[in-house]
Amino acid sequence: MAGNRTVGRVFGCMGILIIAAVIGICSGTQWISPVKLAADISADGLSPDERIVLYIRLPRVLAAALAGAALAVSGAVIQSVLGNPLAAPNIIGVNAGAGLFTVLCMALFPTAVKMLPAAAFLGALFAVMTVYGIAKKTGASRMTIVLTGIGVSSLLNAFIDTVTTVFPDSLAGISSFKAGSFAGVTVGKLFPAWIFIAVGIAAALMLSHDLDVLALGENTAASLGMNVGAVRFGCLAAAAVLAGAAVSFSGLIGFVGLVVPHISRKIAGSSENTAVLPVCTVLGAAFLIICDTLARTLFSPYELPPGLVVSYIGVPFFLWLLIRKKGASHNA
Amino acid sequence: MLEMKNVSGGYGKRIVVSEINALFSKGEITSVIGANGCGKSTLLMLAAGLITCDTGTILADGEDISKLSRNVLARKLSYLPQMKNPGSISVRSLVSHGRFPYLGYPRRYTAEDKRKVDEAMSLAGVSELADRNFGELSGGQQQRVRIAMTLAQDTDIILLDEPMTYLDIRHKLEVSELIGTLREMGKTIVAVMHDLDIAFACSDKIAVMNGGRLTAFDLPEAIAKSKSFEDALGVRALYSGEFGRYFFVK
Repeated sequence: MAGNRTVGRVFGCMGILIIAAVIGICSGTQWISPVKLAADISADGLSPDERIVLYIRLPRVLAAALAGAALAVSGAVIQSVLGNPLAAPNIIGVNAGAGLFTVLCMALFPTAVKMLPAAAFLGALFAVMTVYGIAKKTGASRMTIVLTGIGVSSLLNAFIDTVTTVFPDSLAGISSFKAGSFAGVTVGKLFPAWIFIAVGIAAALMLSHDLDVLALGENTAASLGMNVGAVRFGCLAAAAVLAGAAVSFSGLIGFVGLVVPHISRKIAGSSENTAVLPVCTVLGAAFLIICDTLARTLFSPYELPPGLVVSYIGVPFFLWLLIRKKGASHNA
Repeated sequence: MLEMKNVSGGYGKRIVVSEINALFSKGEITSVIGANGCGKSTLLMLAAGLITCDTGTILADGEDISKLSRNVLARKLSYLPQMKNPGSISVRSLVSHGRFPYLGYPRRYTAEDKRKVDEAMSLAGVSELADRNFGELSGGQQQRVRIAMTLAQDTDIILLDEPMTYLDIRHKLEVSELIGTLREMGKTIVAVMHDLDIAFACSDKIAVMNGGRLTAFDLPEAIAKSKSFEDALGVRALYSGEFGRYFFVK
């Protein structure tokens, strides 16, 4: 049950998000003071600083926020449905599935740019259903799900490499796609992905109560009158929409979907999705804006792929999680 | 009242229980006993409508459960499995999930739902734990909270799968007392029991299962003397007048 406490915490996270967004907009190869920017905005015409912000930095911050929120919520939903705290979209092959369908779409239909989010969604759905199907068939334990996912993920990545080798011309920017990047993103490129993300997050929030009941176990949920198959499919489809849409414009950014849900559970003080998912949405956006801002500024004028910064923060956290989880039987 | 007529079923093609005929009456506790793998839990899952019967019908208060929607069935019959760990969740939230069959969309609890949740927690003696994290409670407290969730579901028929396993003796007796209270409320209670001492002490009827079949269904006194009991469990029941209870010997 989302109480007043949750609302307070979501607002707290929103504060972080706003600060991250302002810093993200103002910093770059050249710092633009927010005070001066505010003055420019009230004046007539577009100053050079305003142009930089409007056409370069703002789209990037928006892209990072959208991708971060989408991947974080996708991760939280997948972890909850599979009952596995290690099942993030990048680990169980959901991102790779989305990536494969994206590069296939880019290679085979180079002009159909607007189709990319839909293709990525199909790829993500295909991957998540494959992993879920295998887990269901073998009655798999938590570890088997992760291992299955790693296997599926490697296979899909092998396909991605094959496609990029066979179609080198139409996939010139592929290395930045594989590491994840927001470079060169424009507001136009975010359409229609942002609609997918808005719909996906709305669906996940609407399903959050049912997701909590499902987390009690399949039999318990069914005996409480839930149509378990439909709810589970709905949740996984929402997660696939989110991961797919994010991958379609940002490439393969990993670990957001693993790290942010765990931090969100800590902040929400509960593993209930009604409380976790709103926190996750806001925190995911803030986290990726911060990572992307660091990526742009740390070695300026050189730019790191944001996926790298996420990995620098995400991988040590993941390892710490694995070590800590060894003794604990449930996710906090 | 729950009635099973010539019920057979299992998982996929594997038939685990066959030709079950039983009538579980209102205001009675029936314990299902038998050796490991005899089909006790499968019987309960069939009765809960979680797996469909290959043959036969199951009637809940006279209505064929296979013809009821999940939601309608969930207002007549509750089933408490050995639940997996629900993660970090408050006791009140968990008990409130018992109201799921009554929720419309969006999932908002009404005053009625909140009242039922409070009642269920007070009946199960967990009211003072309402704001605690479920994961931090003792095994006995957790089991009472789970039963409170079932009570919040407010059904006439309650199926319990090994409600006392892993509990120490004091908590077993507490839970058994709570189940006794439910009987007083006129509920139909069917419980898979591992512990024969408790089964014989708290049940009105005992159902003995052996190799997927129901081999005896009677009062505890009659079961204690029956050959079916000895065949199924591999022990004999001896009554001690001095202690007022049964002892089980090889």
